[in-house]
Amino acid sequence: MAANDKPHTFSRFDGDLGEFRQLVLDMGQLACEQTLLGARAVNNCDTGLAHEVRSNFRHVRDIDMDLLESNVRLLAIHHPVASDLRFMMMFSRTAYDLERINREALKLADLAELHAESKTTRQYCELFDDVMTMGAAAGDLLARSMKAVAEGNIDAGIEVINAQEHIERISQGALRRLATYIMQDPRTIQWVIDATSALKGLERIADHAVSIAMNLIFACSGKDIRHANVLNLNDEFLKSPTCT
Amino acid sequence: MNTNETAVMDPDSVANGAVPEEADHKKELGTDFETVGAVRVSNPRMTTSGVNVFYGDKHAIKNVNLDIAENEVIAMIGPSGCGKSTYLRCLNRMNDTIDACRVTGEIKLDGQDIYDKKLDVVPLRARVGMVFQKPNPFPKSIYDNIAYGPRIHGLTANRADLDELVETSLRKAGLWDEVKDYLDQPGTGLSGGQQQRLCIARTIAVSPEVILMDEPCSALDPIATAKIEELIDELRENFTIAIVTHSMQQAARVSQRTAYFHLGNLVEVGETTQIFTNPEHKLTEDYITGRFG
Repeated sequence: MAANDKPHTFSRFDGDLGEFRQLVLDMGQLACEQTLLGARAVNNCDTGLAHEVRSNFRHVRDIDMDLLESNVRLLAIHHPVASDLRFMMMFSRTAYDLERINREALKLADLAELHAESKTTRQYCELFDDVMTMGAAAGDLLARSMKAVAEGNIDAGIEVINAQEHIERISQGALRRLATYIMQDPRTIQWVIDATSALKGLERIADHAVSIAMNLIFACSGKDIRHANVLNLNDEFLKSPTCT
Repeated sequence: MNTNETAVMDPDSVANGAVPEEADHKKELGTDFETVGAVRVSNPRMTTSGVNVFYGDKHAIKNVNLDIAENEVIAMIGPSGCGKSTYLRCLNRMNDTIDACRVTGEIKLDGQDIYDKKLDVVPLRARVGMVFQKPNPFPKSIYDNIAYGPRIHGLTANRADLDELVETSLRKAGLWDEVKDYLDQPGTGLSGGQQQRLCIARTIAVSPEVILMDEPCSALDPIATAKIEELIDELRENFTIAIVTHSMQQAARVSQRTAYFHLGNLVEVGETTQIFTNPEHKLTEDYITGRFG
């Protein structure tokens, strides 16, 4: 869906752009699943879930390769400009963010498999509780971001950007709790480090979700807000209609 | 209903006798439409104010205001019949050759009204030269194609000066190396791209201030087109250029400012990058993204 919903004079362009868009949305849906699966795999030290993340990783990677091919073809053949160009850029950058999310999920799967093999992990499983909380929050943020992209909804995109604070609060709270484990029992340090690593990975997934929302705002408005003051976004954009 | 029509029809409304809404791009904007973007510049070479052109009763150009800055390339784009070539021809009074054509408003070159009755159009057309869609070299030698203008305008004192002027013009047009050994050969014997460059050389030989180009590459192959575009970029250092083109990629490549015309109105003008990445007016957006055209 471009900002201009009238059909292009070359119907093939609309078809190609539509396919490109759908690939990105499919990739986004998979990335959301990967986020939750990865967090759950770590939380439960579950190799089955880790295996599923690994299998999906390859699928997401294949979509990413199809996207690159589609992107190059669209640019070479159709020379898009204005809103078409901005939306193509948005989808391309979103695909990059989703590919990074996929890699973070894979790291979570690696962590889950590592701890599943360790017999002593079970007594420290509670250290990974916050990973599931963070995973749910990051997954939800990503889902909202992708929904905003699918609908061309600037307001929803701004809400995603504003939700960064919530993610930061969850992260900081989790890190404080993990610190108490080390103070109580220094033998937990390895698991605390791993839990922290998982939390940081999920925080990066949330950052990518915010990046996707920023790409959406660029596509709809032509304004690059990556380095803008978040507080000002509300005044400038909340009155804006959707892209269509 | 003809499915090729772009009119929007709501079945319920039609059933109740409502008239289908006309598509946006077919609606006239009227003479009081205000152009979006900065029509004025700080260093204009040409200024146009309230320009209207009529072909009999047909109102072809509606109240256009636009400055053309010194040493810039301004591209004029728009669908067929929108008036961009008509507007271009106003800038050197080529429309005077059309009996039914009437031009009102003000057009100035370096502050001088070019439609002043006392103004001689012949020197005007040397100062504001024109290159046409179809290359039109004179049926003369390559040398004489270039030398003709300077001769009749008395721009050179002797043969040596004329030779130098011919060489300089051909060099500026990027043609010298290809024709220097064949200057006595007919200009019509050159390839299409070479002929067009010969026409450009002929135009610049009389030291114009402004060069008007009406789709100069539409009859040329891609390589010849690339050479002309490269030439336009080089000529900008010394001349002001206004180019009409149907190729938006060409407009994006060669120009600093772009003006979009629609049904006789100047809808939007702005920096080329801005026009092609984030146009302000919906009609501009629809045209350049290919929603109509």
